[in-house]
Parts: sequence; structure tokens; C-alpha cells
Amino acid sequence: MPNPVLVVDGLSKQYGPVTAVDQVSFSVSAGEVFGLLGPNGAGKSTTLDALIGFTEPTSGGGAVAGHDIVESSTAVRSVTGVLPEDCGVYEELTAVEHVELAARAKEVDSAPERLLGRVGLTEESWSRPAGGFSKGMAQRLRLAVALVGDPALLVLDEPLSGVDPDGIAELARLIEQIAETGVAVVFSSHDLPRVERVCDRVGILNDGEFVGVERLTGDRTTELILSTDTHPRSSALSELRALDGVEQAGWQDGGVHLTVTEPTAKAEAVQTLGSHTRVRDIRTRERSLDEIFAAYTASEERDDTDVATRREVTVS
Amino acid sequence: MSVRVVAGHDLRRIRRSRGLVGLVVVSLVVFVGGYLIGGLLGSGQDPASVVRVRLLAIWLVAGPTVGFVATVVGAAGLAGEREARTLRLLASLPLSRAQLVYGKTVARAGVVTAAVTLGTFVSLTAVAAGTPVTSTGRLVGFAGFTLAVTVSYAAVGVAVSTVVSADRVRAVAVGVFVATLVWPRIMGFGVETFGSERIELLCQFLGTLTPFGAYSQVVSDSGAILAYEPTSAVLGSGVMALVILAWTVGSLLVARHQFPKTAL
Repeated sequence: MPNPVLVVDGLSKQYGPVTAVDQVSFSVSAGEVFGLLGPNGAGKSTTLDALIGFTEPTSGGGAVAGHDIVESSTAVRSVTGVLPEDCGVYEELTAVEHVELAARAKEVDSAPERLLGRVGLTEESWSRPAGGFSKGMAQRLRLAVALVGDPALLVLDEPLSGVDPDGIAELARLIEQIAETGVAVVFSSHDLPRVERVCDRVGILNDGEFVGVERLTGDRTTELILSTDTHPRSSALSELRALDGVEQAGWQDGGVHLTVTEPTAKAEAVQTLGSHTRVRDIRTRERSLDEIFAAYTASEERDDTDVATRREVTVS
Repeated sequence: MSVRVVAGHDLRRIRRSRGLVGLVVVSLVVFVGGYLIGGLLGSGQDPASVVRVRLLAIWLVAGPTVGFVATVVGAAGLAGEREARTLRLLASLPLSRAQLVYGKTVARAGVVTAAVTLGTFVSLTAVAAGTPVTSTGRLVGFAGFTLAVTVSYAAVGVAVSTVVSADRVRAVAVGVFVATLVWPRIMGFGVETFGSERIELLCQFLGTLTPFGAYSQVVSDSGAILAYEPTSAVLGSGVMALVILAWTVGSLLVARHQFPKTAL
């Protein structure tokens, strides 16, 4: 991985007896979009809050562009654009004044018109008090504020929440465009199809623990389905599970289903199973983010035979 | 620098919301009202007595009002941002929590002080113009302590907003203000109850340990309500200035210490 803009190392946050985040580690490079996923209360916002100095980690830490998130949180925010969750706008101030405020705080030239145009706010809205903005317009304004000073890292906490479908599509496109300019983006969202489209990688949090990181572009995790005439012996399945790059293996609907994280593991898996039984057909299928999410956040009682969890995931 | 950014931002918002106009109106009403009431109460007396009654009336009407308004305005600084969910937006900028506290205090205290300055100036100029025997030093002291106590209560309000949750800030701020108002009176009972001179002095001194108590001790006539004969240096204007300063600085230290722990 090229030099990461954001490094999170063993970050934990305790609220009294409750562990909100436990030993979370990940990194994000320039131009990469990293999605933070998890059910409600999984620790997504706490993790993001710790990155930007809204809350102090109990242990562990991290750095943004070399600035320690605990020791130099003000410096972190000077190179980070933040779109906080559940955040208002100043109703009596105009869009331009919002951007100017951020520019003064960051001690940079504001160029509010450029930023407001970039996030898709129409010119007539620039001088209007933000109190009259729709949810989508307000979210665009907050994004413009976050983009002041050309940040190295963009932290977006639920940026798509409360925005209408058209607005969501536009914001998602905008996030992609921002990342293409070399900005590292971390964002949390419940909108899995959008996350899948926008993110390069996702990290999945469950009960405050980081349960997995998945690449959504390039060599992403796939499901390998090997059809056989008979149910292979359990020793064959054990051998398959022991292969590097194979996470799960089980029998289902006339075939062995494997979760493969390394492309090279596919050929090895075919060979290994072929030594036990005749392989009639080979199929691969990329797992959807829904399935990945469900697999990581399902109850711990996983049945090996239920390889690709297919239940519908309702994320509220 | 960033304190200036926060203060400037807050001032702009107050100006936009017409809060400054409201404060100026309140200030003029209470100071001029106090002046007029003093005139009514002192009518028929000699000029020196009229001055004393007018200043007493201004203190009685404007003093508590100024303290109350400054506390509430100070408390609304951070609490209002929390309620409007804009504090997270402001805190997402490269501003330290201390800069947010100081910037808000400067803006809030500045706005109330500006309004109070106008009210004080108008009423005390009227006092001086109406009665040539007035001591300029006394009027300057009156004005100076009035402004100092305004700043102090604004800082108290800011501190309260960092200690309690947003939904209780105004109630707690008013409660704290009322406590500082009542405390000198409670100690006054001690002064009246105990015969011992030392205990009496102790009660007198304890009564001046709130901004309003110290302010009253300085600006009110000796022997009048909540003001004692300065039989000891601890009841002198220097110590009273220190008491008011201590409340200001102490409140800012509390706010600075507590705000980083506050949920945004």
C-alpha cells in the first residue's frame, strides 16, 4: 500500500463499563475511499469521532498525514475535512459565510464560489440564509465546508443520510470525483449499494470490534462453487478450509461453496477437491456487499454448511 | 487568532439575530429606569442625597438585570450551538476547545458589555449632569465595576453551559445566578444575628464572595442594602475587584477544563 494518509492503530474507546470500540486498526491511502460499515451501535461514529478529536480514545490512536490524532487533534482537523453526523447549519448565515468561516479557521483563501459550485449548489443559493435550505442542499453545504483548504483526508459520517435518492446519487458521484483528485476518504453509511459503488474497501464493525476488511475493487472476495456428484467427506472440506486464501468451505445444494479471498486459491481448491471426488462444474460469483456484511455481522453461531449467507439484511 | 475567528463568527450570528438590539433596549430601559426611579425616590432631598438615591436605584434595578442577562447570554453561547447541532460543525474546524470557550466568552461578554456600557453611560451622564456635586471617581468606579461584573456573569454562563447538558443549561444558569444574588442576603442574616465583631466581619466578607455581593459592596452606599462599612481591607474595593476577577478567571478555567469532556 502506498503511504497511507490515515493510520488507525489499536484504537479503543470505553464509556464506563461499555466498550464502544475495541482495538480497531486500519489505514487509508490517498485517493482511496474506505467505507466503515456496521449495524447501529457498532462503533462507526465513535471511531470517526476519535479520528477528528471529538472524543479521546481510551487506548491506541492513529495519525492523519503524520499528525497524531490525540496529541495534535487541531492539526489533524487542519488537514481533514469533516462532515459530522447529525449536524446542523447556521440558519442565519449564508452558504458563502459558512465557507468563509471554515477558511478563516483553516487560515486559507476561501474561494467560496468555487467550492459551492463544486458541490452542486446553484448560484442563487449562495447568498441565501442556510435556514431555508433543503436537507440535500444543507448536506452539500456541509460538504463544501469540509472541502475548504483542500484536505488530505475527508471524514464523512453518514453523508447520505436524509438525502433524497437523486441527491444520494449525486453526492456519491461527488465523493468519487473528490477521491480521484487524491483525497483519502473515510465514510460511514447504511446505504450498502452506494457504499459498494463508491468504496474501494470496506471495514466492518460489529459490537465495537473490527470483524473484517473487504476489497470491493480488483481482487475482491468471491464465492467459488464446485459442483460434485456426491457430498465430499468432511476431511475434504477440512483440507479446503486449510488452504491459504480460503475462508469458508461447506456443502450446499449439490456443490461445495468456498469463500475465496485470494485468486490463486481457486485453482488449488479445484485440485484439492478433485483429489477426493469428481468436480463436474466450476462457477464463481462475487459476493454482494449485502452478503459480506451479513456474513460478518450475523450471529456467531455460523454453520459451516451455510457458506454464503443469503438472508436479507435490513440495516436501519 | 482563532479565538478571534470564533468571537467574530459568534458576533456575526448575534448581530444577524438582532440580539444586540434587544440587549441595548434592555440595558437602556433598566439603567434609565433606575435613574428615573431614583429621581422619584430622592425628590425633595439635597443634591448629594439625590445622587446617592439615584445610584442606589440604578444598582438595585440594573445590577441584578445585567447579571441575569449576562449569565443567560453567556450560557446560550455553547448551549445554543449544541441545541442547533451546529457545535459539531464548528468543532470540526481546526479550533481547539479552549479557543471555542474563549471565543464564545469574548463574543458574549463583549455584546452584553457593549449594551451595558451604553446604558451605564447614558444613566451616569444624566446623574453627573443633573447634580454637579457628583464625584467623577465614584461614577467611574460605578461604571467600571458594572462592566466587570457583566463580564464575570457572562463567563459564569459559559462555564455552566460546559458543565450541564444542553436541555438544563438555562435552568441551571438562572439557578446559579439566583444563588449568587441571594448569597449576600443569607450572609446578611449572619451579620444581624451574631454579636461577635469577628464573626460579623467574616459574614460580611463571605457575603461579598459572589460577583453580585462584591459589586454591591463597592457601588452601593456603605450601610445601605448589601454594603458594609469597609472596616477592614477585606471589604475594600481592591478585594472586591479581585473577587469579581476570580469569578471570571475561575469560570473560564472550569469551562476550559470541562468543555473537552462535553459531548458535542
